[in-house]
Amino acid sequence: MKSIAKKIGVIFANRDLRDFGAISFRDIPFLAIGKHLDQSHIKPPSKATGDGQKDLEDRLKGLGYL
Amino acid sequence: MNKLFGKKPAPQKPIIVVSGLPRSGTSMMMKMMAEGGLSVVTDELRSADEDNPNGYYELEAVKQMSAGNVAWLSDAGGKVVKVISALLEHLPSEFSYKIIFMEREIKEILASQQKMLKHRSESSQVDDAEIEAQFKKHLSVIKPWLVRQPNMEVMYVSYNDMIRDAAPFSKKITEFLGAPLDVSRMARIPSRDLYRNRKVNG
Repeated sequence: MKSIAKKIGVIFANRDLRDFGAISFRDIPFLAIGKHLDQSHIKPPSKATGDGQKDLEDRLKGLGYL
Repeated sequence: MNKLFGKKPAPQKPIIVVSGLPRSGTSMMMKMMAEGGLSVVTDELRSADEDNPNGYYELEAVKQMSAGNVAWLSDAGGKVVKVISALLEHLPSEFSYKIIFMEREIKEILASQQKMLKHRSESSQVDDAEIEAQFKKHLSVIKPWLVRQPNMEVMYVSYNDMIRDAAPFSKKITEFLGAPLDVSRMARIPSRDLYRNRKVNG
C-alpha cells in the first residue's frame, strides 16, 4: 500500500498540480496519462432510456419544461 | 506546457446547476442559492404562480440547448442555473459544472405534477404508474452517466429531509460549492408551511 502511494505521488508530482484549483478523482486519468478518458461510447441518457422516452418528453412538455 | 498537459477545460469557474425531476424542489433550491448570495441565470419569463409561489428561476435558453443555443453558458461561470435532469446531457463538455441534484419521494413528485398539469389545462396520456416507472428508469440511467462525466461533480440533496431541517444541508451545499454563501439565509427558505399546503391543496 505504501509503495503504491509512493508511485501515485510520483506520477502526480510529474504532472504539476499548481493549475488544479479544485482537484477531484475525475482528474486522475488526466493526471496519470495526460488526457481524459474517451467517453464517446457512453450513450446519452435520452438514448439509453428506451421506449419510454417519448412518454417522458410528453410529460415534460405538458409541465412546460421542454 | 499546453501540449504536455493536453486538453483541459478553460479555467472558468464551474457553472452551478440545480437539477432533478420537475417538482422535486429545484425552484426552492434556486431560491436558496439566490438568498445565499449567488447570481442566478434566469430570464424570469415564467413568473410565480400557484404551483411555484416563490417563482421558477428558469431560463428559456436552457430548453434550446439541444438546438445549439449554448453561447449564454460562456458568462455563467460561478452563477447558478436550473436545468432539469432530462436536459443535463445537452450541457456543453467544454465547461465544468457543480450540480446540485434534488431528490424527492416519487409519489409526491407525481402528485405535484398532476396538480400542475391541471392548472395548465394539460392532460396526461399516460397513467402515473407508467410515468413513475419511466422516471425511475430515467434516474437509473442518468446517475451512472453523471458519474462518468469528467466535467461534472454532483451532490444529491433530499427535498424531504431538507424540509425537516435545512441547516445542515445548507452548510454541506456551501462546502460542496466552495463559495462563501450566507448559510443562515439559505436555511430559512425551505418552508414546512408551503410543503403542507402543497400536500393538502397542490
